[in-house]
Amino acid sequence: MKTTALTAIIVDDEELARSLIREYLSSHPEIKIVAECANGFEAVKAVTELKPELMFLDIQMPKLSGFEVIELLDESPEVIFVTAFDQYAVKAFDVHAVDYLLKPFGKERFDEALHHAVERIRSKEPIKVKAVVAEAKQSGQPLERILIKEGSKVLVIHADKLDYIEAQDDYISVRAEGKSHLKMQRLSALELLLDDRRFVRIHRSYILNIERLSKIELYAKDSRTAILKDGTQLPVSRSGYDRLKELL
Amino acid sequence: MMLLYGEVNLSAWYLCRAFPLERTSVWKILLVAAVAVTIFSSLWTLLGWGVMSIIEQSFSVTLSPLPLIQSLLIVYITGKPLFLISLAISYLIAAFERSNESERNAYEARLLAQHAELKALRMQIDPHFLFNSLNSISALTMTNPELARTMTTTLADFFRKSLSYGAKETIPLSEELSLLHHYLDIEKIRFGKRLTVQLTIDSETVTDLVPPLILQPLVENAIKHGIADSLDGGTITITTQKKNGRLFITVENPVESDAPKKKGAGMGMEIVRQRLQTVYGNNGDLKTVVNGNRHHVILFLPTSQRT
Repeated sequence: MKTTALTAIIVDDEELARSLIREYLSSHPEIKIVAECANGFEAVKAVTELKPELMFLDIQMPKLSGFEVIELLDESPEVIFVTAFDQYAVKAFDVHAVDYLLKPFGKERFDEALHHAVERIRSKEPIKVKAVVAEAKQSGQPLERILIKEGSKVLVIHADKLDYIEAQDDYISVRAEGKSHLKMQRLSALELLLDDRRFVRIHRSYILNIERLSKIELYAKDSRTAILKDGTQLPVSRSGYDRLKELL
Repeated sequence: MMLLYGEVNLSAWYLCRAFPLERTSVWKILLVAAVAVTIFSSLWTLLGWGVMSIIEQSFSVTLSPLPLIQSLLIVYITGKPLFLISLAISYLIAAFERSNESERNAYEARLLAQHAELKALRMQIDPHFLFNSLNSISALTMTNPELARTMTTTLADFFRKSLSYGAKETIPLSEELSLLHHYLDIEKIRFGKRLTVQLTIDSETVTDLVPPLILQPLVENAIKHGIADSLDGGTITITTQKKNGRLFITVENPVESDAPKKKGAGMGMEIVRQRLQTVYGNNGDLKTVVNGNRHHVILFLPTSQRT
Protein backbone atom coordinates (compact mmCIF):
# COMPACT_ATOMS: atom_id res chain seq x y z
CA MET A 1 0.00 0.00 0.00
CA LYS A 2 1.45 3.26 -1.02
CA THR A 3 0.14 6.53 0.29
CA THR A 4 1.44 10.00 -0.33
CA ALA A 5 3.33 11.55 2.60
CA LEU A 6 1.43 13.93 4.87
CA THR A 7 2.78 17.45 5.09
CA ALA A 8 3.59 18.85 8.52
CA ILE A 9 5.01 22.02 10.07
CA ILE A 10 6.72 22.44 13.44
CA VAL A 11 6.08 25.61 15.43
CA ASP A 12 8.13 26.32 18.57
CA ASP A 13 10.21 29.33 19.60
CA GLU A 14 12.96 27.13 21.03
CA GLU A 15 15.32 25.65 18.47
CA LEU A 16 16.07 22.61 20.64
CA ALA A 17 12.38 21.84 21.06
CA ARG A 18 11.94 21.92 17.26
CA SER A 19 14.94 19.69 16.75
CA LEU A 20 13.48 17.09 19.10
CA ILE A 21 10.27 16.82 17.07
CA ARG A 22 12.32 16.72 13.85
CA GLU A 23 14.34 13.91 15.37
CA TYR A 24 11.26 11.92 16.38
CA LEU A 25 9.69 12.42 12.94
CA SER A 26 12.78 11.05 11.18
CA SER A 27 11.52 7.51 11.84
CA HIS A 28 8.19 8.35 10.16
CA PRO A 29 8.71 8.53 6.40
CA GLU A 30 4.95 9.01 5.99
CA ILE A 31 5.33 12.56 7.37
CA LYS A 32 7.12 15.26 5.42
CA ILE A 33 8.20 18.43 7.23
CA VAL A 34 7.48 21.38 4.94
CA ALA A 35 8.37 24.20 7.34
CA GLU A 36 9.74 25.02 10.78
CA CYS A 37 8.59 28.23 12.45
CA ALA A 38 10.07 30.04 15.44
CA ASN A 39 6.99 32.16 16.18
CA GLY A 40 3.29 32.58 15.58
CA PHE A 41 3.62 35.09 12.74
CA GLU A 42 5.75 32.69 10.74
CA ALA A 43 3.28 29.92 11.54
CA VAL A 44 0.27 31.86 10.23
CA LYS A 45 2.22 32.70 7.09
CA ALA A 46 3.43 29.13 6.57
CA VAL A 47 0.00 27.56 7.09
CA THR A 48 -1.66 30.07 4.76
CA GLU A 49 0.89 29.58 2.01
CA LEU A 50 1.82 25.90 2.33
CA LYS A 51 -1.47 24.47 3.65
CA PRO A 52 0.11 21.62 5.63
CA GLU A 53 -2.09 18.81 6.88
CA LEU A 54 -0.55 18.57 10.35
CA MET A 55 0.91 21.17 12.72
CA PHE A 56 2.97 20.65 15.89
CA LEU A 57 2.17 23.80 17.81
CA ASP A 58 3.81 25.15 20.97
CA ILE A 59 1.41 27.20 23.12
CA GLN A 60 3.76 29.63 24.92
CA MET A 61 5.47 31.68 22.24
CA PRO A 62 6.46 35.33 21.92
CA LYS A 63 3.86 37.80 20.58
CA LEU A 64 1.40 35.21 19.35
CA SER A 65 0.46 32.20 21.43
CA GLY A 66 -0.36 28.88 19.82
CA PHE A 67 -4.04 29.50 20.57
CA GLU A 68 -3.92 32.85 18.80
CA VAL A 69 -2.36 31.21 15.77
CA ILE A 70 -5.36 28.84 15.51
CA GLU A 71 -7.77 31.71 16.04
CA LEU A 72 -6.21 33.60 13.13
CA LEU A 73 -6.33 30.75 10.66
CA ASP A 74 -9.38 30.47 8.41
CA GLU A 75 -8.74 26.78 8.09
CA SER A 76 -6.63 25.02 10.64
CA PRO A 77 -4.71 21.86 9.85
CA GLU A 78 -4.86 18.94 12.28
CA VAL A 79 -2.96 20.09 15.38
CA ILE A 80 -0.85 18.39 18.02
CA PHE A 81 -0.38 20.94 20.80
CA VAL A 82 2.91 21.00 22.66
CA THR A 83 3.22 22.65 26.06
CA ALA A 84 5.46 22.59 29.11
CA PHE A 85 2.87 23.42 31.72
CA ASP A 86 -0.67 24.62 31.34
CA GLN A 87 -3.34 23.03 33.53
CA TYR A 88 -6.24 24.90 31.92
CA ALA A 89 -5.28 24.04 28.36
CA VAL A 90 -4.75 20.39 29.25
CA LYS A 91 -8.25 20.22 30.70
CA ALA A 92 -9.71 21.66 27.48
CA PHE A 93 -7.70 19.20 25.37
CA ASP A 94 -8.95 16.24 27.36
CA VAL A 95 -12.57 17.39 27.09
CA HIS A 96 -12.36 17.66 23.30
CA ALA A 97 -10.00 14.71 22.79
CA VAL A 98 -7.44 16.89 21.05
CA ASP A 99 -3.90 15.56 20.98
CA TYR A 100 -1.22 17.24 23.04
CA LEU A 101 2.30 16.55 24.22
CA LEU A 102 3.64 17.64 27.59
CA LYS A 103 7.31 18.61 27.56
CA PRO A 104 9.41 16.60 28.01
CA PHE A 105 7.79 13.76 26.09
CA GLY A 106 9.18 10.40 25.04
CA LYS A 107 9.15 8.78 21.63
CA GLU A 108 6.32 6.41 22.56
CA ARG A 109 3.98 9.18 23.62
CA PHE A 110 4.93 11.13 20.51
CA ASP A 111 4.19 8.18 18.21
CA GLU A 112 0.84 7.64 19.88
CA ALA A 113 -0.26 11.26 19.40
CA LEU A 114 0.99 11.20 15.82
CA HIS A 115 -0.88 7.97 15.12
CA HIS A 116 -4.18 9.50 16.32
CA ALA A 117 -3.65 12.65 14.30
CA VAL A 118 -2.79 10.74 11.12
CA GLU A 119 -5.87 8.53 11.53
CA ARG A 120 -8.06 11.57 11.86
CA ILE A 121 -6.54 13.20 8.79
CA ARG A 122 -6.99 10.02 6.71
CA SER A 123 -10.60 9.52 7.84
CA LYS A 124 -11.28 13.23 7.18
CA GLU A 125 -12.77 13.70 10.62
CA PRO A 126 -13.72 17.33 11.27
CA ILE A 127 -11.10 19.22 13.24
CA LYS A 128 -12.11 20.30 16.73
CA VAL A 129 -9.28 22.65 17.67
CA LYS A 130 -11.28 25.84 17.17
CA ALA A 131 -13.68 24.81 19.93
CA VAL A 132 -10.80 24.17 22.33
CA VAL A 133 -9.24 27.53 21.54
CA ALA A 134 -12.52 29.38 22.03
CA GLU A 135 -12.86 27.70 25.40
CA ALA A 136 -9.30 28.40 26.47
CA LYS A 137 -9.70 32.07 25.53
CA GLN A 138 -12.94 32.58 27.44
CA SER A 139 -11.52 31.41 30.73
CA GLY A 140 -9.11 34.33 30.81
CA GLN A 141 -9.11 38.04 31.43
CA PRO A 142 -10.79 40.47 29.04
CA LEU A 143 -9.28 40.74 25.59
CA GLU A 144 -6.42 43.25 25.47
CA ARG A 145 -5.73 43.05 21.75
CA ILE A 146 -7.42 42.01 18.55
CA LEU A 147 -5.53 39.94 16.02
CA ILE A 148 -6.30 40.34 12.36
CA LYS A 149 -4.94 38.36 9.45
CA GLU A 150 -4.50 40.24 6.20
CA GLY A 151 -3.29 37.82 3.58
CA SER A 152 -0.53 35.93 5.34
CA LYS A 153 0.36 38.91 7.55
CA VAL A 154 -0.82 39.38 11.12
CA LEU A 155 -1.92 42.71 12.58
CA VAL A 156 -2.07 43.29 16.34
CA ILE A 157 -4.49 46.00 17.48
CA HIS A 158 -4.52 47.00 21.16
CA ALA A 159 -7.88 47.36 22.86
CA ASP A 160 -7.30 51.05 23.70
CA LYS A 161 -6.58 51.81 20.04
CA LEU A 162 -10.03 50.53 19.00
CA ASP A 163 -12.66 53.12 18.05
CA TYR A 164 -15.61 50.92 17.23
CA ILE A 165 -16.43 47.58 15.64
CA GLU A 166 -19.12 47.10 13.03
CA ALA A 167 -20.83 43.86 12.10
CA GLN A 168 -20.84 43.00 8.38
CA ASP A 169 -22.52 39.64 7.72
CA ASP A 170 -20.11 36.97 8.97
CA TYR A 171 -17.35 39.51 9.36
CA ILE A 172 -16.57 42.35 11.68
CA SER A 173 -14.98 45.58 10.58
CA VAL A 174 -12.54 46.83 13.21
CA ARG A 175 -11.97 50.58 13.19
CA ALA A 176 -8.70 51.78 14.73
CA GLU A 177 -6.36 54.70 14.08
CA GLY A 178 -8.28 55.86 11.01
CA LYS A 179 -8.28 52.48 9.28
CA SER A 180 -10.78 49.66 8.99
CA HIS A 181 -9.81 45.99 9.10
CA LEU A 182 -11.98 43.00 8.27
CA LYS A 183 -11.97 39.91 10.41
CA MET A 184 -14.03 36.74 10.25
CA GLN A 185 -15.78 36.73 13.60
CA ARG A 186 -19.27 37.32 14.98
CA LEU A 187 -19.86 40.60 16.79
CA SER A 188 -21.61 38.81 19.65
CA ALA A 189 -18.60 36.51 20.14
CA LEU A 190 -16.25 39.49 20.30
CA GLU A 191 -18.59 41.34 22.67
CA LEU A 192 -18.17 38.55 25.23
CA LEU A 193 -14.40 38.76 25.09
CA LEU A 194 -13.96 42.52 25.35
CA ASP A 195 -13.80 44.39 28.67
CA ASP A 196 -17.45 45.31 29.38
CA ARG A 197 -16.41 48.38 31.35
CA ARG A 198 -14.86 49.96 28.28
CA PHE A 199 -16.83 48.53 25.36
CA VAL A 200 -20.60 48.76 24.86
CA ARG A 201 -22.87 47.14 22.33
CA ILE A 202 -24.74 50.31 21.35
CA HIS A 203 -26.58 48.70 18.47
CA ARG A 204 -27.17 45.28 16.91
CA SER A 205 -24.32 46.05 14.53
CA TYR A 206 -21.97 48.20 16.66
CA ILE A 207 -19.66 47.93 19.64
CA LEU A 208 -18.26 51.27 20.80
CA ASN A 209 -15.18 52.14 22.83
CA ILE A 210 -16.78 54.59 25.31
CA GLU A 211 -13.58 56.65 25.46
CA ARG A 212 -14.35 57.78 21.91
CA LEU A 213 -17.85 59.03 22.66
CA SER A 214 -18.39 62.77 22.49
CA LYS A 215 -22.20 63.12 22.81
CA ILE A 216 -25.51 61.42 22.10
CA GLU A 217 -28.25 63.16 20.12
CA LEU A 218 -31.92 62.24 20.00
CA TYR A 219 -32.78 61.93 16.39
CA ALA A 220 -36.26 60.37 16.36
CA LYS A 221 -38.42 58.68 18.95
CA ASP A 222 -36.38 55.81 20.45
CA SER A 223 -33.64 56.42 17.97
CA ARG A 224 -30.41 58.16 18.89
CA THR A 225 -27.09 58.88 17.29
CA ALA A 226 -23.71 58.63 19.03
CA ILE A 227 -21.29 61.28 17.87
CA LEU A 228 -17.68 60.32 18.34
CA LYS A 229 -14.79 62.65 19.07
CA ASP A 230 -13.67 62.45 15.44
CA GLY A 231 -17.20 63.32 14.22
CA THR A 232 -18.25 59.83 13.16
CA GLN A 233 -21.94 59.15 13.71
CA LEU A 234 -23.18 55.72 14.83
CA PRO A 235 -26.76 54.57 15.44
CA VAL A 236 -27.77 53.80 19.03
CA SER A 237 -30.69 51.43 19.62
CA ARG A 238 -33.01 51.72 22.61
CA SER A 239 -31.43 48.79 24.46
CA GLY A 240 -28.01 50.06 23.42
CA TYR A 241 -28.87 53.43 24.96
CA ASP A 242 -29.88 51.69 28.20
CA ARG A 243 -26.59 49.82 28.32
CA LEU A 244 -24.69 53.04 27.63
CA LYS A 245 -26.56 54.92 30.36
CA GLU A 246 -25.81 52.16 32.82
CA LEU A 247 -22.11 52.37 32.13
CA LEU A 248 -21.88 56.17 32.20
CA MET B 1 -14.32 19.89 105.85
CA MET B 2 -14.22 18.98 102.13
CA LEU B 3 -16.61 21.82 101.44
CA LEU B 4 -14.32 24.21 103.23
CA TYR B 5 -11.27 23.01 101.35
CA GLY B 6 -13.11 23.38 98.05
CA GLU B 7 -14.15 26.85 98.98
CA VAL B 8 -10.57 27.84 99.81
CA ASN B 9 -9.32 26.62 96.46
CA LEU B 10 -12.20 28.07 94.49
CA SER B 11 -11.85 31.57 95.91
CA ALA B 12 -8.07 31.44 95.41
CA TRP B 13 -8.57 30.24 91.85
CA TYR B 14 -11.02 33.02 91.18
CA LEU B 15 -8.60 35.64 92.50
CA CYS B 16 -5.80 34.25 90.39
CA ARG B 17 -7.95 34.52 87.24
CA ALA B 18 -9.25 37.99 88.11
CA PHE B 19 -5.77 39.36 88.80
CA PRO B 20 -3.35 37.55 86.47
CA LEU B 21 0.29 37.97 87.45
CA GLU B 22 1.53 39.31 84.11
CA ARG B 23 -1.05 42.06 83.79
CA THR B 24 -1.27 43.29 87.42
CA SER B 25 1.33 45.17 89.44
CA VAL B 26 3.00 43.42 92.39
CA TRP B 27 1.58 45.92 94.90
CA LYS B 28 -1.91 45.46 93.64
CA ILE B 29 -1.65 41.70 93.94
CA LEU B 30 -0.20 41.96 97.45
CA LEU B 31 -2.98 44.33 98.46
CA VAL B 32 -5.65 42.10 96.96
CA ALA B 33 -4.12 39.05 98.67
CA ALA B 34 -4.00 40.83 102.03
CA VAL B 35 -7.59 42.01 101.77
CA ALA B 36 -8.76 38.60 100.60
CA VAL B 37 -6.88 36.83 103.38
CA THR B 38 -8.44 39.09 106.02
CA ILE B 39 -11.93 38.68 104.63
CA PHE B 40 -11.49 34.95 104.23
CA SER B 41 -10.09 34.33 107.76
CA SER B 42 -12.78 36.56 109.27
CA LEU B 43 -15.48 34.67 107.43
CA TRP B 44 -14.03 31.40 108.55
CA THR B 45 -13.78 32.50 112.17
CA LEU B 46 -17.33 33.82 111.99
CA LEU B 47 -18.43 30.47 110.65
CA GLY B 48 -16.66 28.68 113.53
CA TRP B 49 -18.32 30.98 116.05
CA GLY B 50 -21.70 30.30 114.43
CA VAL B 51 -21.16 26.54 114.67
CA MET B 52 -20.20 26.88 118.33
CA SER B 53 -23.33 28.90 119.04
CA ILE B 54 -25.52 26.29 117.37
CA ILE B 55 -23.87 23.53 119.40
CA GLU B 56 -24.33 25.56 122.57
CA GLN B 57 -27.99 26.14 121.87
CA SER B 58 -29.01 22.73 120.61
CA PHE B 59 -27.19 20.75 123.30
CA SER B 60 -27.90 23.28 126.03
CA VAL B 61 -24.33 23.28 127.16
CA THR B 62 -22.14 26.21 127.94
CA LEU B 63 -18.72 26.01 126.50
CA SER B 64 -16.16 27.81 128.57
CA PRO B 65 -15.45 31.11 126.79
CA LEU B 66 -11.70 31.02 127.10
CA PRO B 67 -10.95 27.87 125.04
CA LEU B 68 -13.63 29.02 122.63
CA ILE B 69 -11.87 32.29 121.92
CA GLN B 70 -8.59 30.43 121.80
CA SER B 71 -9.79 27.97 119.16
CA LEU B 72 -11.38 30.75 117.12
CA LEU B 73 -8.09 32.62 117.24
CA ILE B 74 -6.31 29.51 115.99
CA VAL B 75 -8.82 29.21 113.16
CA TYR B 76 -8.29 32.87 112.34
CA ILE B 77 -4.50 32.56 112.30
CA THR B 78 -4.24 29.22 110.46
CA GLY B 79 -6.81 30.34 107.92
CA LYS B 80 -4.45 32.98 106.61
CA PRO B 81 -1.49 30.78 105.53
CA LEU B 82 -3.91 28.13 104.25
CA PHE B 83 -5.50 30.64 101.96
CA LEU B 84 -2.16 32.09 100.91
CA ILE B 85 -0.79 28.64 100.05
CA SER B 86 -3.87 27.90 98.01
CA LEU B 87 -3.50 31.23 96.21
CA ALA B 88 0.17 30.52 95.45
CA ILE B 89 -0.67 27.07 94.08
CA SER B 90 -3.34 28.60 91.85
CA TYR B 91 -0.87 31.11 90.48
CA LEU B 92 1.63 28.31 89.83
CA ILE B 93 -0.90 26.20 87.93
CA ALA B 94 -1.93 29.20 85.85
CA ALA B 95 1.69 29.98 85.03
CA PHE B 96 2.33 26.39 83.99
CA GLU B 97 -0.69 26.39 81.70
CA ARG B 98 0.38 29.65 80.14
CA SER B 99 3.90 28.45 79.47
CA ASN B 100 2.49 25.37 77.74
CA GLU B 101 0.23 27.56 75.67
CA SER B 102 2.95 30.03 74.70
CA GLU B 103 5.22 27.15 73.73
CA ARG B 104 2.50 25.81 71.48
CA ASN B 105 1.89 29.27 70.03
CA ALA B 106 5.57 29.75 69.30
CA TYR B 107 5.69 26.35 67.64
CA GLU B 108 2.67 27.14 65.51
CA ALA B 109 4.16 30.48 64.50
CA ARG B 110 7.41 28.79 63.50
CA LEU B 111 5.51 26.24 61.43
CA LEU B 112 3.54 29.00 59.74
CA ALA B 113 6.71 30.92 58.91
CA GLN B 114 8.28 27.80 57.43
CA HIS B 115 5.18 27.20 55.35
CA ALA B 116 5.32 30.74 54.01
CA GLU B 117 9.01 30.39 53.21
CA LEU B 118 8.49 27.08 51.41
CA LYS B 119 5.58 28.51 49.49
CA ALA B 120 7.72 31.47 48.50
CA LEU B 121 10.45 29.12 47.27
CA ARG B 122 8.00 27.03 45.32
CA MET B 123 6.56 30.11 43.69
CA GLN B 124 10.01 31.25 42.72
CA ILE B 125 10.84 28.24 40.65
CA ASP B 126 8.65 28.40 37.60
CA PRO B 127 7.42 24.98 36.46
CA HIS B 128 7.88 26.11 32.84
CA PHE B 129 11.57 26.51 33.55
CA LEU B 130 11.95 22.95 34.79
CA PHE B 131 9.88 21.26 32.09
CA ASN B 132 11.34 23.28 29.23
CA SER B 133 14.86 22.60 30.50
CA LEU B 134 14.18 18.88 30.64
CA ASN B 135 12.80 19.06 27.13
CA SER B 136 15.99 20.78 25.93
CA ILE B 137 18.06 18.06 27.58
CA SER B 138 15.95 15.43 25.90
CA ALA B 139 16.60 17.09 22.53
CA LEU B 140 20.33 17.42 23.18
CA THR B 141 20.83 13.74 24.01
CA MET B 142 20.78 12.98 20.26
CA THR B 143 22.41 16.03 18.74
CA ASN B 144 24.90 16.99 21.45
CA PRO B 145 25.18 14.43 24.26
CA GLU B 146 28.01 16.32 25.92
CA LEU B 147 25.97 19.50 26.22
CA ALA B 148 23.04 17.40 27.47
CA ARG B 149 25.26 16.15 30.28
CA THR B 150 26.48 19.66 31.10
CA MET B 151 22.92 20.94 31.19
CA THR B 152 21.80 18.07 33.45
CA THR B 153 24.51 18.75 36.01
CA THR B 154 23.94 22.52 35.85
CA LEU B 155 20.25 21.98 36.46
CA ALA B 156 21.03 19.68 39.39
CA ASP B 157 23.52 22.20 40.82
CA PHE B 158 20.96 24.95 40.49
CA PHE B 159 18.31 23.02 42.42
CA ARG B 160 20.76 21.78 45.05
CA LYS B 161 22.00 25.30 45.68
CA SER B 162 18.51 26.79 45.81
CA LEU B 163 17.55 24.23 48.42
CA SER B 164 20.60 24.74 50.63
CA TYR B 165 20.68 28.54 50.30
CA GLY B 166 16.93 28.78 50.70
CA ALA B 167 17.21 27.43 54.24
CA LYS B 168 19.53 30.27 55.30
CA GLU B 169 18.48 33.71 56.40
CA THR B 170 21.13 35.56 54.41
CA ILE B 171 23.98 34.59 52.09
CA PRO B 172 26.87 36.60 50.60
CA LEU B 173 26.01 38.20 47.27
CA SER B 174 28.74 36.08 45.64
CA GLU B 175 26.74 32.92 46.44
CA GLU B 176 23.53 34.43 45.11
CA LEU B 177 25.40 35.35 41.93
CA SER B 178 26.80 31.83 41.53
CA LEU B 179 23.25 30.48 41.75
CA LEU B 180 22.24 33.01 39.12
CA HIS B 181 25.10 31.86 36.88
CA HIS B 182 23.75 28.31 36.92
CA TYR B 183 20.30 29.57 36.11
CA LEU B 184 21.51 31.77 33.27
CA ASP B 185 23.70 28.98 31.82
CA ILE B 186 20.59 26.81 31.51
CA GLU B 187 18.52 29.58 29.98
CA LYS B 188 21.30 30.35 27.50
CA ILE B 189 21.17 26.79 26.21
CA ARG B 190 17.38 27.01 25.96
CA PHE B 191 17.15 30.35 24.24
CA GLY B 192 20.38 30.18 22.26
CA LYS B 193 21.25 33.39 20.45
CA ARG B 194 18.14 35.12 21.78
CA LEU B 195 19.62 35.56 25.26
CA THR B 196 22.62 37.78 26.03
CA VAL B 197 23.57 38.57 29.61
CA GLN B 198 25.73 41.43 30.80
CA LEU B 199 26.94 41.41 34.41
CA THR B 200 28.58 44.44 36.01
CA ILE B 201 29.55 43.48 39.54
CA ASP B 202 31.25 45.94 41.89
CA SER B 203 33.92 43.85 43.68
CA GLU B 204 33.14 45.65 46.94
CA THR B 205 29.63 44.25 46.97
CA VAL B 206 30.28 40.51 46.72
CA THR B 207 30.72 39.98 50.47
CA ASP B 208 27.55 41.88 51.33
CA LEU B 209 24.77 39.72 52.71
CA VAL B 210 21.47 39.34 50.88
CA PRO B 211 18.40 37.16 51.50
CA PRO B 212 18.85 33.94 49.45
CA LEU B 213 17.11 33.66 46.05
CA ILE B 214 16.19 37.34 46.09
CA LEU B 215 17.59 38.04 42.61
CA GLN B 216 16.59 34.81 40.93
CA PRO B 217 12.86 35.65 40.58
CA LEU B 218 13.74 39.08 39.21
CA VAL B 219 16.04 37.64 36.57
CA GLU B 220 13.44 35.00 35.76
CA ASN B 221 10.88 37.78 35.20
CA ALA B 222 13.36 39.69 33.06
CA ILE B 223 13.87 36.63 30.84
CA LYS B 224 10.17 35.89 30.66
CA HIS B 225 9.25 39.40 29.57
CA GLY B 226 12.36 40.55 27.78
CA ILE B 227 13.44 37.35 26.02
CA ALA B 228 10.69 34.73 25.89
CA ASP B 229 8.14 37.31 24.68
CA SER B 230 10.45 38.72 22.08
CA LEU B 231 11.06 37.40 18.58
CA ASP B 232 14.74 38.32 18.42
CA GLY B 233 15.56 38.32 22.12
CA GLY B 234 17.89 40.85 23.71
CA THR B 235 20.24 41.64 26.55
CA ILE B 236 19.58 41.25 30.27
CA THR B 237 21.79 43.52 32.37
CA ILE B 238 22.58 42.91 36.04
CA THR B 239 24.47 45.60 37.93
CA THR B 240 25.52 45.80 41.59
CA GLN B 241 26.99 48.86 43.28
CA LYS B 242 27.50 50.47 46.67
CA LYS B 243 26.45 54.05 47.32
CA ASN B 244 26.38 55.86 50.69
CA GLY B 245 26.67 52.58 52.55
CA ARG B 246 23.73 51.06 50.68
CA LEU B 247 23.70 48.18 48.24
CA PHE B 248 21.95 48.72 44.90
CA ILE B 249 21.19 45.84 42.55
CA THR B 250 19.59 46.54 39.17
CA VAL B 251 18.08 43.98 36.79
CA GLU B 252 17.25 45.36 33.39
CA ASN B 253 15.46 43.85 30.39
CA PRO B 254 14.10 45.04 27.04
CA VAL B 255 10.35 45.71 26.92
CA GLU B 256 8.03 44.12 24.40
CA SER B 257 5.20 46.59 23.91
CA ASP B 258 2.53 44.41 22.32
CA ALA B 259 3.19 41.21 24.22
CA PRO B 260 0.13 39.55 25.73
CA LYS B 261 -0.30 40.23 29.45
CA LYS B 262 0.88 37.30 31.50
CA LYS B 263 -1.19 36.14 34.40
CA GLY B 264 0.54 36.39 37.76
CA ALA B 265 3.40 38.49 36.41
CA GLY B 266 3.42 40.79 39.42
CA MET B 267 3.44 37.85 41.83
CA GLY B 268 7.19 37.16 41.86
CA MET B 269 7.90 40.84 42.35
CA GLU B 270 5.45 41.05 45.24
CA ILE B 271 7.07 38.10 47.00
CA VAL B 272 10.48 39.74 46.70
CA ARG B 273 9.08 42.98 48.11
CA GLN B 274 7.50 41.16 51.05
CA ARG B 275 10.70 39.30 51.83
CA LEU B 276 12.69 42.55 51.83
CA GLN B 277 10.12 44.03 54.21
CA THR B 278 10.42 41.11 56.62
CA VAL B 279 14.20 41.17 56.65
CA TYR B 280 14.93 44.90 56.53
CA GLY B 281 11.69 46.68 57.41
CA ASN B 282 11.74 50.11 55.81
CA ASN B 283 15.45 49.91 55.00
CA GLY B 284 15.01 47.58 52.04
CA ASP B 285 12.81 48.16 49.03
CA LEU B 286 12.31 47.47 45.36
CA LYS B 287 11.43 49.89 42.57
CA THR B 288 10.49 49.35 38.96
CA VAL B 289 11.20 51.96 36.32
CA VAL B 290 10.41 51.84 32.61
CA ASN B 291 12.85 53.95 30.70
CA GLY B 292 12.15 53.99 26.98
CA ASN B 293 12.19 50.37 25.88
CA ARG B 294 14.10 49.13 28.92
CA HIS B 295 12.50 47.84 32.10
CA HIS B 296 14.54 48.29 35.31
CA VAL B 297 14.02 46.69 38.69
CA ILE B 298 16.16 48.28 41.40
CA LEU B 299 16.75 46.66 44.80
CA PHE B 300 17.92 48.79 47.73
CA LEU B 301 19.43 47.00 50.70
CA PRO B 302 21.34 48.06 53.78
CA THR B 303 24.88 46.67 53.65
CA SER B 304 25.85 44.05 56.19
CA GLN B 305 28.66 41.53 56.22
CA ARG B 306 29.31 38.28 57.99
CA THR B 307 31.35 38.84 61.17
